Amino acid sequence: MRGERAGARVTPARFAYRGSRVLLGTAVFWNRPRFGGYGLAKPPRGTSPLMDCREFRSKHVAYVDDLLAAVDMEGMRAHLGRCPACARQDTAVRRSLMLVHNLPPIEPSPEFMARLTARLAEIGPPPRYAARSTLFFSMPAMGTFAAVAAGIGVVAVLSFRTTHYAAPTQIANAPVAVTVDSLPDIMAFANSAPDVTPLANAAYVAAVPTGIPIWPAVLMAGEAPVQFASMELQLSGGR
Amino acid sequence: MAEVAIKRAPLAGATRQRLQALDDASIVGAFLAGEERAFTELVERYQTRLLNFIYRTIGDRERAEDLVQEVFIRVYRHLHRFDRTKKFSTWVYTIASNLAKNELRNRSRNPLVLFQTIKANWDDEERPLQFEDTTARPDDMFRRRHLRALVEETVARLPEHHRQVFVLRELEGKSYEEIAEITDCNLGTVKSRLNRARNAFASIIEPKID
Repeated sequence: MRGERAGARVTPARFAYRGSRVLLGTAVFWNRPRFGGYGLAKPPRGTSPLMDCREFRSKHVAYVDDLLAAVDMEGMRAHLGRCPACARQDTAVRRSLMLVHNLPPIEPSPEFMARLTARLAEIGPPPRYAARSTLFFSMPAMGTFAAVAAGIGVVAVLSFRTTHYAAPTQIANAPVAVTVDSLPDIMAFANSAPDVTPLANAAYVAAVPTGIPIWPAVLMAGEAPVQFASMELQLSGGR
Repeated sequence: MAEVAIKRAPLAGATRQRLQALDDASIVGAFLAGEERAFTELVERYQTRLLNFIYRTIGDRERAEDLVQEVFIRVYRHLHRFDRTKKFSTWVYTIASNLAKNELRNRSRNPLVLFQTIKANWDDEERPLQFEDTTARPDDMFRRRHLRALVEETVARLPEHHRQVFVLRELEGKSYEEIAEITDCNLGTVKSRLNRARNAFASIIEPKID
Protein backbone atom coordinates (compact mmCIF):
# COMPACT_ATOMS: atom_id res chain seq x y z
CA MET A 1 0.00 0.00 0.00
CA ARG A 2 1.05 3.59 -0.43
CA GLY A 3 3.49 4.73 2.14
CA GLU A 4 4.47 1.22 3.17
CA ARG A 5 7.71 -0.40 2.48
CA ALA A 6 7.62 -3.27 0.06
CA GLY A 7 7.59 -6.59 1.86
CA ALA A 8 6.43 -5.10 5.15
CA ARG A 9 4.84 -7.56 7.50
CA VAL A 10 1.01 -7.51 7.60
CA THR A 11 0.11 -6.64 11.14
CA PRO A 12 -3.40 -7.04 12.53
CA ALA A 13 -3.87 -3.32 12.44
CA ARG A 14 -2.75 -3.11 8.88
CA PHE A 15 -5.03 -6.04 7.98
CA ALA A 16 -7.99 -4.38 9.68
CA TYR A 17 -7.27 -1.14 7.87
CA ARG A 18 -7.19 -2.83 4.49
CA GLY A 19 -10.31 -4.80 5.22
CA SER A 20 -12.26 -1.74 6.24
CA ARG A 21 -11.33 0.01 3.05
CA VAL A 22 -12.48 -2.96 1.00
CA LEU A 23 -15.76 -3.02 2.88
CA LEU A 24 -16.25 0.70 2.46
CA GLY A 25 -15.61 0.49 -1.25
CA THR A 26 -18.08 -2.32 -1.62
CA ALA A 27 -20.74 -0.40 0.30
CA VAL A 28 -20.21 2.66 -1.85
CA PHE A 29 -20.51 0.55 -4.98
CA TRP A 30 -23.76 -1.16 -3.99
CA ASN A 31 -25.38 2.01 -2.81
CA ARG A 32 -24.34 4.17 -5.71
CA PRO A 33 -27.09 6.46 -7.11
CA ARG A 34 -28.47 5.14 -10.37
CA PHE A 35 -30.16 8.12 -11.89
CA GLY A 36 -28.28 10.86 -13.56
CA GLY A 37 -25.40 11.33 -11.20
CA TYR A 38 -24.63 11.39 -7.55
CA GLY A 39 -27.26 12.51 -5.15
CA LEU A 40 -29.66 14.72 -7.09
CA ALA A 41 -31.78 13.18 -9.90
CA LYS A 42 -34.54 10.78 -8.90
CA PRO A 43 -36.72 8.53 -11.05
CA PRO A 44 -40.16 9.88 -12.00
CA ARG A 45 -42.75 8.72 -9.53
CA GLY A 46 -44.75 5.72 -10.65
CA THR A 47 -42.40 4.53 -13.42
CA SER A 48 -40.04 1.64 -13.40
CA PRO A 49 -36.66 2.76 -12.24
CA LEU A 50 -35.01 1.81 -15.51
CA MET A 51 -37.10 1.80 -18.67
CA ASP A 52 -35.27 -0.38 -21.10
CA CYS A 53 -35.16 0.04 -24.84
CA ARG A 54 -37.66 -2.74 -25.39
CA GLU A 55 -40.28 -1.01 -23.29
CA PHE A 56 -39.47 2.29 -24.98
CA ARG A 57 -39.96 0.81 -28.45
CA SER A 58 -43.23 -0.86 -27.45
CA LYS A 59 -44.66 2.48 -26.34
CA HIS A 60 -43.10 4.64 -29.04
CA VAL A 61 -46.17 4.72 -31.29
CA ALA A 62 -48.38 6.18 -28.57
CA TYR A 63 -45.54 8.45 -27.44
CA VAL A 64 -45.23 10.05 -30.87
CA ASP A 65 -49.02 10.47 -31.03
CA ASP A 66 -49.13 11.95 -27.53
CA LEU A 67 -51.51 9.29 -26.32
CA LEU A 68 -49.61 8.05 -23.26
CA ALA A 69 -50.46 8.89 -19.69
CA ALA A 70 -48.41 11.68 -18.18
CA VAL A 71 -46.44 9.28 -16.01
CA ASP A 72 -45.46 7.17 -19.01
CA MET A 73 -44.56 10.26 -21.00
CA GLU A 74 -42.11 11.27 -18.29
CA GLY A 75 -40.59 7.81 -18.30
CA MET A 76 -40.19 7.94 -22.07
CA ARG A 77 -38.49 11.34 -21.92
CA ALA A 78 -36.21 10.11 -19.16
CA HIS A 79 -35.17 7.14 -21.28
CA LEU A 80 -34.46 9.42 -24.23
CA GLY A 81 -32.10 11.34 -21.97
CA ARG A 82 -30.18 8.20 -21.15
CA CYS A 83 -30.24 6.21 -24.40
CA PRO A 84 -28.63 7.81 -27.48
CA ALA A 85 -29.78 5.04 -29.81
CA CYS A 86 -33.45 5.44 -28.92
CA ALA A 87 -33.08 9.21 -29.07
CA ARG A 88 -31.69 8.98 -32.62
CA GLN A 89 -34.54 6.70 -33.68
CA ASP A 90 -37.14 9.00 -32.14
CA THR A 91 -35.69 12.01 -33.97
CA ALA A 92 -35.57 10.13 -37.29
CA VAL A 93 -39.20 9.03 -37.00
CA ARG A 94 -40.42 12.52 -36.12
CA ARG A 95 -38.50 14.17 -38.95
CA SER A 96 -39.80 11.69 -41.51
CA LEU A 97 -43.36 12.09 -40.28
CA MET A 98 -43.07 15.85 -40.69
CA LEU A 99 -42.40 15.29 -44.38
CA VAL A 100 -45.43 13.05 -44.70
CA HIS A 101 -47.74 15.45 -42.88
CA ASN A 102 -46.67 18.29 -45.16
CA LEU A 103 -47.33 16.30 -48.31
CA PRO A 104 -49.74 18.28 -50.48
CA PRO A 105 -53.02 16.45 -51.21
CA ILE A 106 -53.89 15.57 -54.77
CA GLU A 107 -57.22 16.80 -56.11
CA PRO A 108 -59.59 14.95 -58.42
CA SER A 109 -59.50 15.85 -62.09
CA PRO A 110 -62.00 18.53 -63.27
CA GLU A 111 -64.13 15.98 -65.12
CA PHE A 112 -64.43 13.68 -62.09
CA MET A 113 -67.88 14.87 -61.02
CA ALA A 114 -69.24 14.87 -64.57
CA ARG A 115 -68.10 11.28 -65.12
CA LEU A 116 -69.58 10.17 -61.82
CA THR A 117 -72.90 11.89 -62.54
CA ALA A 118 -73.08 10.18 -65.93
CA ARG A 119 -72.43 6.78 -64.37
CA LEU A 120 -75.03 7.35 -61.67
CA ALA A 121 -77.57 8.39 -64.31
CA GLU A 122 -77.00 5.05 -66.06
CA ILE A 123 -77.72 3.22 -62.81
CA GLY A 124 -81.01 5.02 -62.29
CA PRO A 125 -82.72 6.09 -59.08
CA PRO A 126 -81.28 4.48 -55.97
CA PRO A 127 -83.35 2.27 -53.70
CA ARG A 128 -84.56 4.32 -50.80
CA TYR A 129 -86.54 3.63 -47.71
CA ALA A 130 -88.58 6.17 -45.82
CA ALA A 131 -86.49 7.86 -43.21
CA ARG A 132 -86.70 5.92 -40.01
CA SER A 133 -85.38 7.05 -36.74
CA THR A 134 -82.69 5.01 -35.15
CA LEU A 135 -84.99 4.51 -32.21
CA PHE A 136 -87.11 2.25 -34.40
CA PHE A 137 -84.33 -0.24 -34.71
CA SER A 138 -83.83 -0.41 -30.99
CA MET A 139 -87.45 -1.29 -30.12
CA PRO A 140 -88.88 -4.79 -30.44
CA ALA A 141 -90.57 -5.51 -33.75
CA MET A 142 -94.06 -4.01 -33.80
CA GLY A 143 -95.56 -7.33 -34.83
CA THR A 144 -94.07 -9.13 -31.86
CA PHE A 145 -95.24 -6.37 -29.59
CA ALA A 146 -98.76 -6.54 -30.98
CA ALA A 147 -98.83 -10.32 -30.66
CA VAL A 148 -97.71 -10.17 -27.05
CA ALA A 149 -100.29 -7.48 -26.27
CA ALA A 150 -103.04 -9.52 -27.93
CA GLY A 151 -102.00 -12.62 -26.02
CA ILE A 152 -102.13 -10.79 -22.74
CA GLY A 153 -105.56 -9.44 -23.65
CA VAL A 154 -106.90 -12.88 -24.50
CA VAL A 155 -105.58 -14.34 -21.27
CA ALA A 156 -107.16 -11.47 -19.34
CA VAL A 157 -110.53 -11.96 -21.03
CA LEU A 158 -110.48 -15.72 -20.53
CA SER A 159 -109.59 -15.39 -16.88
CA PHE A 160 -112.33 -12.86 -16.38
CA ARG A 161 -114.88 -15.03 -18.06
CA THR A 162 -113.76 -18.12 -16.23
CA THR A 163 -114.03 -16.49 -12.81
CA HIS A 164 -117.33 -14.94 -13.79
CA TYR A 165 -118.59 -18.27 -15.01
CA ALA A 166 -117.65 -20.13 -11.83
CA ALA A 167 -120.20 -18.14 -9.84
CA PRO A 168 -123.06 -17.46 -12.16
CA THR A 169 -125.60 -15.00 -10.84
CA GLN A 170 -128.18 -15.91 -13.34
CA ILE A 171 -128.70 -18.45 -16.01
CA ALA A 172 -128.15 -16.93 -19.40
CA ASN A 173 -130.27 -19.46 -21.16
CA ALA A 174 -132.78 -21.45 -19.26
CA PRO A 175 -132.59 -25.12 -20.05
CA VAL A 176 -135.22 -26.43 -22.33
CA ALA A 177 -137.48 -28.39 -20.03
CA VAL A 178 -140.17 -30.51 -21.55
CA THR A 179 -142.96 -31.51 -19.18
CA VAL A 180 -145.17 -34.47 -19.65
CA ASP A 181 -148.27 -32.38 -19.87
CA SER A 182 -146.95 -30.25 -22.66
CA LEU A 183 -146.31 -33.10 -25.05
CA PRO A 184 -149.15 -35.00 -26.75
CA ASP A 185 -147.23 -38.21 -27.09
CA ILE A 186 -144.45 -38.44 -24.63
CA MET A 187 -143.86 -42.12 -25.28
CA ALA A 188 -143.26 -41.53 -28.93
CA PHE A 189 -141.02 -38.74 -28.03
CA ALA A 190 -139.17 -40.75 -25.43
CA ASN A 191 -138.51 -43.55 -27.83
CA SER A 192 -137.21 -41.30 -30.52
CA ALA A 193 -133.79 -39.70 -30.42
CA PRO A 194 -134.51 -36.76 -28.22
CA ASP A 195 -133.62 -33.38 -29.54
CA VAL A 196 -134.71 -31.86 -26.26
CA THR A 197 -133.89 -33.91 -23.28
CA PRO A 198 -136.71 -34.46 -20.75
CA LEU A 199 -134.11 -34.42 -17.99
CA ALA A 200 -133.08 -30.83 -18.57
CA ASN A 201 -135.02 -29.65 -15.55
CA ALA A 202 -133.53 -32.50 -13.55
CA ALA A 203 -130.12 -31.46 -14.71
CA TYR A 204 -130.83 -27.96 -13.62
CA VAL A 205 -131.92 -29.15 -10.22
CA ALA A 206 -128.79 -31.24 -9.95
CA ALA A 207 -126.54 -28.47 -11.13
CA VAL A 208 -127.49 -25.85 -8.63
CA PRO A 209 -126.35 -27.47 -5.38
CA THR A 210 -123.30 -29.07 -6.93
CA GLY A 211 -122.08 -25.91 -8.58
CA ILE A 212 -121.65 -27.64 -11.92
CA PRO A 213 -122.45 -25.24 -14.72
CA ILE A 214 -125.79 -25.89 -16.33
CA TRP A 215 -124.61 -26.83 -19.77
CA PRO A 216 -122.34 -29.75 -18.75
CA ALA A 217 -125.14 -31.08 -16.58
CA VAL A 218 -127.55 -30.82 -19.49
CA LEU A 219 -125.09 -32.65 -21.73
CA MET A 220 -124.66 -35.38 -19.18
CA ALA A 221 -128.42 -35.62 -18.79
CA GLY A 222 -128.76 -35.72 -22.54
CA GLU A 223 -126.39 -38.60 -22.77
CA ALA A 224 -128.12 -40.50 -20.04
CA PRO A 225 -129.78 -43.67 -21.28
CA VAL A 226 -133.23 -42.84 -22.60
CA GLN A 227 -134.74 -45.89 -21.00
CA PHE A 228 -134.36 -44.26 -17.59
CA ALA A 229 -136.37 -41.35 -18.81
CA SER A 230 -138.88 -43.72 -20.32
CA MET A 231 -138.99 -45.68 -17.08
CA GLU A 232 -139.52 -42.54 -15.13
CA LEU A 233 -142.31 -41.50 -17.35
CA GLN A 234 -143.80 -44.95 -17.26
CA LEU A 235 -143.66 -45.01 -13.53
CA SER A 236 -145.31 -41.68 -13.33
CA GLY A 237 -147.86 -42.96 -15.80
CA GLY A 238 -147.22 -40.11 -18.08
CA ARG A 239 -148.56 -37.66 -15.52
CA MET B 1 -84.60 33.02 -68.51
CA ALA B 2 -81.93 35.05 -66.81
CA GLU B 3 -84.37 35.91 -64.03
CA VAL B 4 -85.13 32.26 -63.55
CA ALA B 5 -81.41 31.53 -63.43
CA ILE B 6 -80.88 34.24 -60.83
CA LYS B 7 -83.80 32.99 -58.77
CA ARG B 8 -82.43 29.46 -58.86
CA ALA B 9 -78.88 30.41 -57.94
CA PRO B 10 -79.65 31.76 -54.42
CA LEU B 11 -81.84 28.71 -53.73
CA ALA B 12 -79.05 26.37 -54.78
CA GLY B 13 -76.59 28.33 -52.63
CA ALA B 14 -78.91 28.26 -49.63
CA THR B 15 -79.52 24.54 -50.04
CA ARG B 16 -75.82 23.92 -50.35
CA GLN B 17 -75.10 25.94 -47.23
CA ARG B 18 -77.79 24.06 -45.35
CA LEU B 19 -76.33 20.73 -46.44
CA GLN B 20 -72.79 21.79 -45.60
CA ALA B 21 -73.88 22.54 -42.05
CA LEU B 22 -75.19 18.99 -41.55
CA ASP B 23 -73.12 16.09 -40.28
CA ASP B 24 -72.68 12.91 -42.31
CA ALA B 25 -75.56 11.04 -40.67
CA SER B 26 -77.98 13.89 -41.39
CA ILE B 27 -76.80 14.12 -44.99
CA VAL B 28 -77.44 10.40 -45.42
CA GLY B 29 -80.90 10.82 -43.93
CA ALA B 30 -81.64 13.72 -46.25
CA PHE B 31 -80.59 11.70 -49.29
CA LEU B 32 -82.72 8.72 -48.28
CA ALA B 33 -85.64 11.08 -47.77
CA GLY B 34 -85.30 12.19 -51.40
CA GLU B 35 -82.86 15.13 -51.36
CA GLU B 36 -80.72 14.41 -54.44
CA ARG B 37 -78.21 17.16 -53.74
CA ALA B 38 -77.29 15.50 -50.47
CA PHE B 39 -75.37 12.85 -52.36
CA THR B 40 -73.44 15.53 -54.22
CA GLU B 41 -72.48 16.99 -50.86
CA LEU B 42 -71.22 13.58 -49.72
CA VAL B 43 -69.13 13.23 -52.87
CA GLU B 44 -67.61 16.66 -52.39
CA ARG B 45 -66.74 15.88 -48.79
CA TYR B 46 -64.98 12.62 -49.47
CA GLN B 47 -63.65 12.65 -53.02
CA THR B 48 -60.28 14.24 -52.21
CA ARG B 49 -59.67 12.21 -49.08
CA LEU B 50 -60.55 8.94 -50.75
CA LEU B 51 -58.47 9.78 -53.79
CA ASN B 52 -55.43 10.47 -51.65
CA PHE B 53 -55.95 7.34 -49.62
CA ILE B 54 -56.36 5.04 -52.61
CA TYR B 55 -53.60 6.75 -54.58
CA ARG B 56 -51.09 6.42 -51.72
CA THR B 57 -52.10 2.79 -51.34
CA ILE B 58 -51.92 1.64 -54.96
CA GLY B 59 -49.59 4.26 -56.46
CA ASP B 60 -51.56 4.86 -59.68
CA ARG B 61 -53.43 8.14 -59.89
CA GLU B 62 -55.72 7.40 -62.82
CA ARG B 63 -56.68 4.02 -61.49
CA ALA B 64 -57.21 5.62 -58.08
CA GLU B 65 -59.79 7.99 -59.61
CA ASP B 66 -61.60 5.06 -61.17
CA LEU B 67 -61.67 3.29 -57.83
CA VAL B 68 -62.98 6.39 -56.06
CA GLN B 69 -65.81 6.52 -58.59
CA GLU B 70 -66.48 2.86 -57.88
CA VAL B 71 -66.63 3.64 -54.16
CA PHE B 72 -69.28 6.29 -54.69
CA ILE B 73 -71.29 4.05 -56.96
CA ARG B 74 -71.36 1.37 -54.29
CA VAL B 75 -72.34 3.95 -51.71
CA TYR B 76 -75.14 5.15 -54.01
CA ARG B 77 -76.47 1.63 -54.46
CA HIS B 78 -76.24 0.46 -50.86
CA LEU B 79 -76.79 3.58 -48.80
CA HIS B 80 -80.30 2.43 -47.89
CA ARG B 81 -78.72 -0.56 -46.13
CA PHE B 82 -76.17 1.48 -44.23
CA ASP B 83 -76.57 1.32 -40.46
CA ARG B 84 -76.83 4.96 -39.51
CA THR B 85 -75.83 4.26 -35.96
CA LYS B 86 -72.31 3.63 -37.28
CA LYS B 87 -69.88 6.20 -38.60
CA PHE B 88 -70.29 6.93 -42.30
CA SER B 89 -66.61 7.75 -42.87
CA THR B 90 -65.54 4.38 -41.48
CA TRP B 91 -67.94 2.61 -43.83
CA VAL B 92 -66.83 4.50 -46.91
CA TYR B 93 -63.13 4.04 -46.06
CA THR B 94 -63.73 0.32 -45.60
CA ILE B 95 -65.16 0.13 -49.11
CA ALA B 96 -62.18 2.07 -50.45
CA SER B 97 -59.72 -0.12 -48.54
CA ASN B 98 -61.25 -3.30 -49.94
CA LEU B 99 -61.19 -1.97 -53.48
CA ALA B 100 -57.55 -0.92 -53.11
CA LYS B 101 -56.61 -4.32 -51.73
CA ASN B 102 -58.36 -6.05 -54.63
CA GLU B 103 -56.53 -3.80 -57.07
CA LEU B 104 -53.16 -4.67 -55.56
CA ARG B 105 -54.03 -8.36 -55.58
CA ASN B 106 -55.01 -8.23 -59.24
CA ARG B 107 -51.86 -6.33 -60.10
CA SER B 108 -49.60 -8.82 -58.48
CA ARG B 109 -51.09 -11.44 -60.77
CA ASN B 110 -50.59 -9.41 -63.94
CA PRO B 111 -47.01 -8.26 -64.64
CA LEU B 112 -48.11 -6.15 -67.61
CA VAL B 113 -50.43 -4.09 -65.45
CA LEU B 114 -47.63 -3.60 -62.95
CA PHE B 115 -45.25 -2.37 -65.64
CA GLN B 116 -47.83 0.05 -67.00
CA THR B 117 -48.41 1.38 -63.51
CA ILE B 118 -44.71 2.03 -62.94
CA LYS B 119 -44.42 3.72 -66.32
CA ALA B 120 -47.45 5.87 -65.63
CA ASN B 121 -45.92 7.00 -62.37
CA TRP B 122 -42.72 8.03 -64.13
CA ASP B 123 -44.77 10.26 -66.42
CA ASP B 124 -46.75 11.54 -63.47
CA GLU B 125 -43.63 12.95 -61.86
CA GLU B 126 -43.18 15.28 -64.80
CA ARG B 127 -46.53 16.92 -64.14
CA PRO B 128 -46.39 20.12 -62.14
CA LEU B 129 -47.70 20.05 -58.61
CA GLN B 130 -51.29 21.11 -58.30
CA PHE B 131 -51.73 24.39 -56.52
CA GLU B 132 -48.06 24.91 -57.04
CA ASP B 133 -46.71 28.21 -55.84
CA THR B 134 -45.63 29.75 -59.12
CA THR B 135 -44.00 32.68 -57.35
CA ALA B 136 -41.56 30.40 -55.52
CA ARG B 137 -37.96 30.23 -56.56
CA PRO B 138 -37.18 27.49 -59.04
CA ASP B 139 -34.78 25.73 -56.69
CA ASP B 140 -37.43 25.72 -53.95
CA MET B 141 -39.96 24.30 -56.37
CA PHE B 142 -37.50 21.67 -57.43
CA ARG B 143 -36.74 20.76 -53.84
CA ARG B 144 -40.44 20.47 -53.01
CA ARG B 145 -41.08 18.30 -56.03
CA HIS B 146 -38.13 16.19 -55.18
CA LEU B 147 -39.28 15.78 -51.58
CA ARG B 148 -42.79 14.94 -52.64
CA ALA B 149 -41.53 12.31 -55.07
CA LEU B 150 -39.21 10.97 -52.41
CA VAL B 151 -41.97 10.65 -49.84
CA GLU B 152 -44.35 9.01 -52.29
CA GLU B 153 -41.70 6.60 -53.45
CA THR B 154 -40.87 5.68 -49.85
CA VAL B 155 -44.52 5.16 -48.96
CA ALA B 156 -44.89 2.90 -51.99
CA ARG B 157 -41.95 0.80 -50.82
CA LEU B 158 -43.64 -0.09 -47.54
CA PRO B 159 -45.26 -3.54 -47.32
CA GLU B 160 -48.94 -3.43 -48.24
CA HIS B 161 -50.33 -4.05 -44.75
CA HIS B 162 -48.02 -1.50 -43.19
CA ARG B 163 -48.58 1.01 -45.96
CA GLN B 164 -52.36 1.01 -45.54
CA VAL B 165 -52.18 1.60 -41.79
CA PHE B 166 -49.48 4.23 -42.30
CA VAL B 167 -51.53 6.15 -44.87
CA LEU B 168 -54.72 5.98 -42.80
CA ARG B 169 -52.91 7.32 -39.73
CA GLU B 170 -50.41 9.81 -41.12
CA LEU B 171 -52.29 11.13 -44.14
CA GLU B 172 -55.93 10.60 -43.29
CA GLY B 173 -55.63 11.21 -39.57
CA LYS B 174 -57.73 8.21 -38.56
CA SER B 175 -57.67 7.01 -34.97
CA TYR B 176 -56.36 3.56 -34.05
CA GLU B 177 -59.91 2.32 -33.47
CA GLU B 178 -61.10 3.55 -36.86
CA ILE B 179 -58.11 1.97 -38.58
CA ALA B 180 -58.85 -1.30 -36.81
CA GLU B 181 -62.40 -1.21 -38.09
CA ILE B 182 -61.44 -0.25 -41.64
CA THR B 183 -58.71 -2.85 -41.97
CA ASP B 184 -60.56 -5.49 -39.96
CA CYS B 185 -57.70 -5.97 -37.48
CA ASN B 186 -57.48 -5.68 -33.74
CA LEU B 187 -56.01 -2.68 -31.99
CA GLY B 188 -52.73 -4.35 -31.08
CA THR B 189 -52.11 -5.33 -34.69
CA VAL B 190 -52.76 -1.76 -35.83
CA LYS B 191 -50.25 -0.34 -33.34
CA SER B 192 -47.68 -2.96 -34.21
CA ARG B 193 -48.01 -2.36 -37.96
CA LEU B 194 -47.93 1.38 -37.49
CA ASN B 195 -44.78 1.14 -35.39
CA ARG B 196 -43.03 -0.98 -37.99
CA ALA B 197 -44.24 1.23 -40.82
CA ARG B 198 -42.91 4.36 -39.13
CA ASN B 199 -39.54 2.80 -38.39
CA ALA B 200 -39.25 1.41 -41.90
CA PHE B 201 -40.27 4.73 -43.44
CA ALA B 202 -37.75 6.62 -41.33
CA SER B 203 -34.94 4.18 -42.06
CA ILE B 204 -35.53 4.48 -45.83
CA ILE B 205 -36.00 8.22 -46.12
CA GLU B 206 -33.73 9.56 -43.39
CA PRO B 207 -30.41 8.98 -45.19
CA LYS B 208 -31.79 10.68 -48.30
CA ILE B 209 -32.87 13.92 -46.68
CA ASP B 210 -29.63 14.61 -44.82
